[in-house]
Amino acid sequence: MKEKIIRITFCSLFILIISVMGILTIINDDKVSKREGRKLAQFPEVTIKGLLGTDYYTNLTNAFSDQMAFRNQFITIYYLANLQRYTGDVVKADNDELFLAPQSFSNKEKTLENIAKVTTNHINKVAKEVTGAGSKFMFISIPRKDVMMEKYLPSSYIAGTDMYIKSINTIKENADQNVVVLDAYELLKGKVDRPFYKTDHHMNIRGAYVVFENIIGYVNDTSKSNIKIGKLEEEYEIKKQIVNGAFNRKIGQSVKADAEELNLRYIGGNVTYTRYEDGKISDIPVFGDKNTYASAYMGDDMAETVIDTNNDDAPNILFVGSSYTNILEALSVHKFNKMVSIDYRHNNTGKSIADYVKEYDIDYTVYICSQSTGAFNIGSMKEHLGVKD
Amino acid sequence: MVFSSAVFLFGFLPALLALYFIAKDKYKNYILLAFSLLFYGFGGPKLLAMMIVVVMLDYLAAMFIDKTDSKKKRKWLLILTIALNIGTLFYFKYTGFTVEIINRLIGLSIPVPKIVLPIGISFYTFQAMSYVIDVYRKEVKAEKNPFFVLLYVSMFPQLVAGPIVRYKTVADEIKERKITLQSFTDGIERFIFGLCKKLIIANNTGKLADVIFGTETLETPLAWLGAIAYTLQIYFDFSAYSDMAIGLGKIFGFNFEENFNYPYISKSVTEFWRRWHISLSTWFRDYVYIPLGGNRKGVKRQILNLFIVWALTGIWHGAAVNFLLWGLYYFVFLILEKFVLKKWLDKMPKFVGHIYTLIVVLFGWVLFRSEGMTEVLRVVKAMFIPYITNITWQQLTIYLSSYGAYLIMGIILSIPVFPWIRNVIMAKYKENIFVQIIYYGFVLGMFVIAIAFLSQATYNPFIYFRF
Repeated sequence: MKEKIIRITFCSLFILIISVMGILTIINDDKVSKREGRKLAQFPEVTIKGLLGTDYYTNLTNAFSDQMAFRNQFITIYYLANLQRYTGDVVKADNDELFLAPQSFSNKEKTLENIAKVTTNHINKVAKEVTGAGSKFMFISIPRKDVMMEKYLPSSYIAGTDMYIKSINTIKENADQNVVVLDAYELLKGKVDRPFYKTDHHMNIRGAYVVFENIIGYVNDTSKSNIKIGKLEEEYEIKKQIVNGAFNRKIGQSVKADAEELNLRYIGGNVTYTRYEDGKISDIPVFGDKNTYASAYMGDDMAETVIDTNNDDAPNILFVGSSYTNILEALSVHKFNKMVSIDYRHNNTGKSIADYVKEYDIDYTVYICSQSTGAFNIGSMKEHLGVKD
Repeated sequence: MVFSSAVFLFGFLPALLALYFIAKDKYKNYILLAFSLLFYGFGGPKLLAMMIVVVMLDYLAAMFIDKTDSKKKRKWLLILTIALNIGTLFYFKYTGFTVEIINRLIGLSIPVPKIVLPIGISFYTFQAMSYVIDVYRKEVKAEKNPFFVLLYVSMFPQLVAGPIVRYKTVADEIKERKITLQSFTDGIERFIFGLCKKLIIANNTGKLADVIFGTETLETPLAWLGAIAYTLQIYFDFSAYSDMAIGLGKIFGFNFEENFNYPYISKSVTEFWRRWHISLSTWFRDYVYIPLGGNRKGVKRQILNLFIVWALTGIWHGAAVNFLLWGLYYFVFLILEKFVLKKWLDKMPKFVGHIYTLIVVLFGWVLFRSEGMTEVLRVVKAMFIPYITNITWQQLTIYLSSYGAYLIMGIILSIPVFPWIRNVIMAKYKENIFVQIIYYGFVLGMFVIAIAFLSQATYNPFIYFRF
């Protein structure tokens, strides 16, 4: 009898779980997943045409997956139950410092070299167009976090430093004279202990500021400008905020995110500016205005940002790249006349970098490239440079 | 639709259970049929219509065969039906392959047609054919109700990836079946274990195999690791599906035959094929090998019969040369064992047989997995010609750190250790209520973990669906 009760309870619980999950899933209509930073699939409308096609069933399947009740909680359980050390391509080191899983790039040095040569050819081509249009061209190389923060890695993790160095050296050797290469690895090594955010792949303010100082140094060396730049604390007041980085989101936020330096307030004087996003005036704040703090991340990856400070004595600067440009854009606002930033992943204007140089009378074009695997990814680089073929 | 999806677990299954158990007995089969068609319809309503047409033609053929006494008519009807089924299968699965072969052999450039392969066509065609053949052989009576024949072929638990169920196995249960608390509980338990096998072990070992074989350069230790990972993936993927199918069958009162019996503990290739995909092996035995004469017509004919069976087994799995070679690879080992190796293996310690079988099977899977002979040669070369670089050990460490736990779990569960522990505990503590509570609590806990893996998993294809 007792065995029967246990069996009935077991069966009932199973049916209860799938039924309750089913009902809650169907009534769920979440539009976005903040945790994943993406839109969620919605339940499709029932129509005769839809039912006779195949899309309806695909959409229904996707909606059930995306709208699944307690999905976030189950994802957390997954990360607790998962036995992988390198979960979701993310590695957890001491103090919950997160890194991307180790690189397993092709061991053929020749392949690495060939990729670097191809990427350099693209850089050279764009640099030629840009310099032809009257701007100087800088290529800034950002290594992966494991390369920059080797000492924080778990013992079994071997950083991809060798691959990065081989790759960047090939680029340096093959870059044309009109390409100024700034290697963030060289700039930051030994200077900044933790140049990246704890749970993210982006450089933090400390890391970015060193790179920025070098950009200003180059600008001062190559123009009549004499941009004054002090130490970080002399220029900005810094406020901390919880940074729940991309790595943490990848692993179901299973690491407790810390408050890190993210928001800045410019103390070097009040700078008035007009900000344009995709040609329209934008009210997204840039730190500094009216003593406000703003995120060093400029709001997000924008297709085209123009910030005009009406400081005609200062040069104009153009940033090209991805989210890695954000923090440098923010720092540049107070030192340049115009700061233009383009992200070709979202920019569909059809304008080339050289077109922007001409349109905004750009003096300095800065292309920021992050290392993806052992090499700089050719496809990604072409996309970020707006190169079609 | 796959069993390891939210739409099945939280939409299809609870809806079916509710309607099925509320309905009166006389409507249960129709509900099951409607849901089975819906299940298949997820792959495309047009393909569903085609399946229904094929099965209805089989139904009519079986009716005529059953009714007529003329041997000649019966035979012709059977030949026509088999031609229809094989023709359909051939058109969808082998047209492109055949055109490619013709182009290659004769040097033509006939355009290769792109035909969408209906999900589970190899399985349901074989089931439908076996029904007509069994009626022809008078092993079963033709079913008068066309919906019951359609239900037999399209029953969702086994429709798309087996086991290949014979009509005689379920004929009585279609008409009358009894669902007991024991069978219902066992069904849920089996389904949950299948789900865990798929989501936890098969998907993770599969990821490892994909990562390794996807690299441009393949070092020797990694090639072996990849082959081992795939060997585990294919077993846990396919046997998981069979477990879930058998479990779902039990939930609805059907008893499907076992499809796997711990094949990796076999001591010979012959034994392996008695334990692996049992329903397919017995299908070929009963409907191809024995009708061809089996071993009754001398050694040469037996070898020819085996050759035909294994060539067919190979291309049943896929329209590609590597599948054909995979089938013939086993033909060679089975012949070798029959005439040479068996005596030798019998004299050797058991572990020799185990190691020999595992190695043969492992290389079989390399052949099976590779798309084209160039890939086969790449992997085999990497396995046998030592190639180690400065980052090999780093990569090996990474892979083992990432997937080692799943590999170990897979290796342990490939041997019947879990049923043994379960049986020992259950026998010893049969009367102990707490042990039973703990056991069923563990099963439900595993279900929750499986849902957690499901919620995260986007990598979720069943390998056997393409067959």
